Amino acid sequence: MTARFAALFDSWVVEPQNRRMIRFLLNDEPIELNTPSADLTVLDWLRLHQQLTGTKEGCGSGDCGACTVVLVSASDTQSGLPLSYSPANSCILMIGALQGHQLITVDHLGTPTNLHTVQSALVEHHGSQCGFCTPGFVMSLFALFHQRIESESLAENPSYRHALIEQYLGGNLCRCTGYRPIIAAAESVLEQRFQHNARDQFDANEAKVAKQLRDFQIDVFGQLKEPGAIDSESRTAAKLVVHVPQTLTQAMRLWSSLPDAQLVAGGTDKGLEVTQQLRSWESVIHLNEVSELKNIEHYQSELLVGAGVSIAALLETLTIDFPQAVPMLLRFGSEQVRSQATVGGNLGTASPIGDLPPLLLALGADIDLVSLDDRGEGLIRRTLALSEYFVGYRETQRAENEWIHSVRIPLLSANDELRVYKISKRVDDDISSVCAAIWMQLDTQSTPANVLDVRMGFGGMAAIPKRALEAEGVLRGAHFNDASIEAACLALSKDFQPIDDARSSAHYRQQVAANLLKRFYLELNSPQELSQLSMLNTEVLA
Amino acid sequence: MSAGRSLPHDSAALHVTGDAEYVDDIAGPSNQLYIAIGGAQIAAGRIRSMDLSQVRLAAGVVDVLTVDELPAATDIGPVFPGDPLLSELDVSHFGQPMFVVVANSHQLARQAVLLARVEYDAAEPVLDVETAMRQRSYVRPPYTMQRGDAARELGKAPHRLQGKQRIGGQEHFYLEGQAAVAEPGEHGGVCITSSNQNPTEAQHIVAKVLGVPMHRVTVITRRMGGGFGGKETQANLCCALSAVVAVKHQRVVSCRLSRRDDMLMTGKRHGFYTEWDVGFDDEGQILAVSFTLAGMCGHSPDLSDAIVDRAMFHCDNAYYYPAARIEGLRCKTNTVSNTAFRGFGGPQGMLACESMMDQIARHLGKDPLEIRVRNFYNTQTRNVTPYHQKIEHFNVPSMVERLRSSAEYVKRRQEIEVFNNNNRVLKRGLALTPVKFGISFTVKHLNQGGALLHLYSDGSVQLNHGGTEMGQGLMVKVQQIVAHELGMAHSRIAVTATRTDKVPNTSPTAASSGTDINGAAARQAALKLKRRLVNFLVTQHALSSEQQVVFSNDAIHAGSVQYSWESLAHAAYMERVPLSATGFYKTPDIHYDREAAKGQPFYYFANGAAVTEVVIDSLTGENKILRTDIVHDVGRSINPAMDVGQIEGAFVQGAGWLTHEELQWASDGRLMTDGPATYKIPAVSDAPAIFNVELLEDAPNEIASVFRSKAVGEPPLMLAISVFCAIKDAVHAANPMPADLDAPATPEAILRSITGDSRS
Repeated sequence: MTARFAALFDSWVVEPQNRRMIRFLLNDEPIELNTPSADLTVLDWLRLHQQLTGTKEGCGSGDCGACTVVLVSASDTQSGLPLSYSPANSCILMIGALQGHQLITVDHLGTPTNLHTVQSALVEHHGSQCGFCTPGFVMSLFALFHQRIESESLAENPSYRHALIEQYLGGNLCRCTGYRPIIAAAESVLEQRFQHNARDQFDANEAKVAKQLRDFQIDVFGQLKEPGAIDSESRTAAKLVVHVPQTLTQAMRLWSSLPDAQLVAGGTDKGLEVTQQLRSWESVIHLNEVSELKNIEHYQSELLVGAGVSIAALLETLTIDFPQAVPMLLRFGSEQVRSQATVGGNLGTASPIGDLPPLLLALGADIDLVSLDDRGEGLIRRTLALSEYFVGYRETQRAENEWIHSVRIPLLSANDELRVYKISKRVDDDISSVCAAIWMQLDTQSTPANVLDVRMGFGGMAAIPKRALEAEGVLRGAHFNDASIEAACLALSKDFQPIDDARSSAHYRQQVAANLLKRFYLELNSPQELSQLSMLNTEVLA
Repeated sequence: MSAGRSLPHDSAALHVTGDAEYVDDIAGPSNQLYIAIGGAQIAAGRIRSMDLSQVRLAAGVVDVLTVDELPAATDIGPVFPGDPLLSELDVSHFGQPMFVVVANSHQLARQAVLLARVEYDAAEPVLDVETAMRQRSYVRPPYTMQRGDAARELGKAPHRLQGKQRIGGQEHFYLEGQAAVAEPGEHGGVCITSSNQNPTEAQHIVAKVLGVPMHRVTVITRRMGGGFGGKETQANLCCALSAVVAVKHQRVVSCRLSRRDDMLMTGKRHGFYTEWDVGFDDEGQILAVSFTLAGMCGHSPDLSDAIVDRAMFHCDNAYYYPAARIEGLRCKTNTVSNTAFRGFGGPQGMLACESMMDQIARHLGKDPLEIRVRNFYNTQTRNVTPYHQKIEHFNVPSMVERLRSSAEYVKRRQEIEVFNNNNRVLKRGLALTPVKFGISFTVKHLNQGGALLHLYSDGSVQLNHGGTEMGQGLMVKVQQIVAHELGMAHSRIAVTATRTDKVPNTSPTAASSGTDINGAAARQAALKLKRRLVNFLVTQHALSSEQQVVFSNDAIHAGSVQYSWESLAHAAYMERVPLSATGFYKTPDIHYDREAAKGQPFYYFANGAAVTEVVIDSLTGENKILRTDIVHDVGRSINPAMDVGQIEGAFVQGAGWLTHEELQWASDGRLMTDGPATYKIPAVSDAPAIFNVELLEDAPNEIASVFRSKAVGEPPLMLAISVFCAIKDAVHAANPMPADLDAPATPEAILRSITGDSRS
């Protein structure tokens, strides 16, 4: 630690108000913010405080990608890469989330006479018209440019290239071009980067940046032993602050002394309180540096996923354990959202249209909740079945003082069937009208096969994400044939009385829920006929 | 040669670096003020009381204005009155502006708006066209066009069918919302930078609202982050409010709408309810037709008269009707006043027509393409439109023939049949539809353009014209036209912001006319300047003929002497040659007698054709475009890359309109789809998986348009009707007797049609 920062650190330990300080890189410039407002968005900070107006506001709700920036973190040592790059919607990203990161904005990639590879690709392919969405596309392509991708699979597999492009650009709306030239530019970027090894100034600086980012962590957290509770005298001083605790105990203690503080992990839903409902936050506790919430642990029969694991990280893990869930997870929000949003956030909001719960319900997952013990020192943990966790519209079994710690997902055994369906108006970045996950154990020795066990989780069908217990009951122990599927479809109308809203009518939801069960049945019987349309690639049909 | 080349957009390098400046990017002074608008929370009724005391007390609030604080005119209706800038007592749509909060930041202004306490006497809102039709509630009188005696011919026809279709509207969803910044000037004037397709109209409205002559108001537009018609009249709201506050407080004032306010407070594409009654022979040749086209205009006229007219002008699309009666209704609803949107009513009229074509084909058990081809106009006999304009040039039949073979229509039709027979759940569909779109404003006086060209003494050129840049590449195309006329490198020419103080009395950049009228005006300016330079050189070098002066390859030859532009500009300046020129253009030969519904409203027609293949899932209604092939006629292209960009972009925008973009209102008139979370414009995977776009080659415009090019902004949007018709084709494969398919064909609408459930 340099002497200068040591001095800063000392004062910070002494003076509670200095806990407001966050440190990060804005492009290549180290920034220390001592008194940011809790509810200052990164977009407003860039545009209003830094006069960096290259990053645009298109919607203020994380749905259009015009404000896309890239967040760089010093990776954990296992990945073998010094840095990882992820896109984020800066309009709903709060300033505290920048602690310890490098924030890269469009302003820093290149100049009109010295363009970055992704920028010249867009120019060459006529990928901008009005240009307002373009900075966002540039940054999404820049994030893609910095992913680790196998060059062989790219060269050989056009549908893999296309899937990657849709994954990284699905959260960027363009109203002018119809996307064809942007896709062409993205193809060119992939080729230049992963087949011809194009480099940029950020590659050259990785080691230096990684060190800077690690130093930021040390400076802020290094000697912070037990910063937990704030006494009542200093509480006023602690108002209007941004807290970035590093351990779960710290975080929970802090919260017990600042019960009005907002808890923010990914903030992709929470941020809308500020930008859409126009609320003010006095203080915020950011949870994205709490490393024990980010654990992913493989056990013999289950997978434990920490509440702070991002959907993007979950996606990577599930690719191996639950490949059947990947198509749906690739349609969970957009890459900007998946990179920030967390498993715990999706379960914590308890929204009836969250896309994780149906999958987790079908898999029979459990949820671990933790609370501080009476002395505020240890953690009390309890586990309950996820199906019991949801009790009413955005209401759960979680007590006021409890946090979601992790979910435990039983692994599949050889004969388990799993299908996950997401039905929405649009394929990319849309909220489900109906999300359905069906898990089934079949005894295929008998003809017709017997249903040994089944779980079906549905989203969008009730006030909560919900199992279809009636329909499951019809199927469990029955033959897996037309008659029992028909009966189960009928039973679904006992399970669910959905509602009309802007996404779809109750009638459609009811009809589709039953049809998805039919589709599941057909898929297992004649899979060649029934690739999911949203995942359809044209080669399949050609 | 500059013209004809695929130069990049003039701002491309600025777009990708974030250096392109939009209205909200302009760095203002530290005492700049920000506006937020308080909108009505009911759709119809009266304001009983409005208590703004808490608003005034809120943090950062500097002022609150209601209609009483407006200095002069309070109605900003662009053609007809009916659009109060701030409502007085009556509320006619949800979100209608009632008061304005002025604060030190955008967020504080928006937060303060929420503190208003307003009580209303709410009335029952009218929220759909059919109800307004029943009540005969219109914003403008009904209007009818006819040729022949349709009623009599319908009675005699061997086959007769009636059909109806509901067609949804469309939110523009320009990525940059409405925005204006006003800076107070001397003598009560103001200078406004605005994201605006129609700076002159904004100047006119602001002058009225401030009560000053137009010469005190300047409006500047460098570029828009998308317009699509949504910033033709709808930009006036932010311009007028920011101007009033700027003049009152003598400070710079920013007014930009949040996405939600933008969606609640500004107009959209008209939804329509259409009915047809058609008589035809055994081969599907139409004998007579009667259409009713009812537009959902919202609460006020805005541009709806012309929009419904254009729907009527296009319900023939590419087909000859021996007898036709077309009635257009301008229905009044308690929704935001609908406005211009790419196609301007044309797409809705054309969709009604193409749905009718499909219906005839299915009735006769024929391929819809056969019916379409059979009914095409030709240029000899069957060549008169329902509004009595003669079709003199018509590329559609040859384009359709070309596309039928290049896209392997017949072979794919057979493959699809095999696929559909072998698949219970997935069904594919195919459709080939043409477009004939009339070019010109149907309001005659708007068909004029102006330009201003300066040659500076260092040989660089600055060009202004009345057109505005919204992404379409207008600036680069006009730059190319001028460079072409002057034999000059295009890089020598800077096209700068559109300003009402440089080129006055301009027309909106609309009706696809941007290049046609402004490019032609700029060309006139270039020719004027060139003439002066030729005269100068002939005199200077005592040349025997003007032919001895040649402008090419970025140099000027005067006899044996060669000039660079630097040297010529300097020499001409020293000899006191005027180096600034204006240009003016008005479209010739157009006229329309609205009383008689007869004339030649269009200078020419733009044509295109598209064949689209889709697949649907008959269990869920999900759908996907598998392949689209387009041939489009842009005449002689000034910039093929820009033209292809317009075609691809318009097609996907049209496909969005007809598939997943759905506007929905709650029963109290609140727009439920008020943001991108619920209103879904196309995203990257919605682009056709295979997308082949071809410009019709060797087809200069037969009419003397600038560079013999053709307008391209709107026409290709209607190529997306092929998507809708292909979906319908696939629906018929799933159920040969489906219920009507309304637009948009959302997954839900598709499933409803397949299962035969009619909507209410």
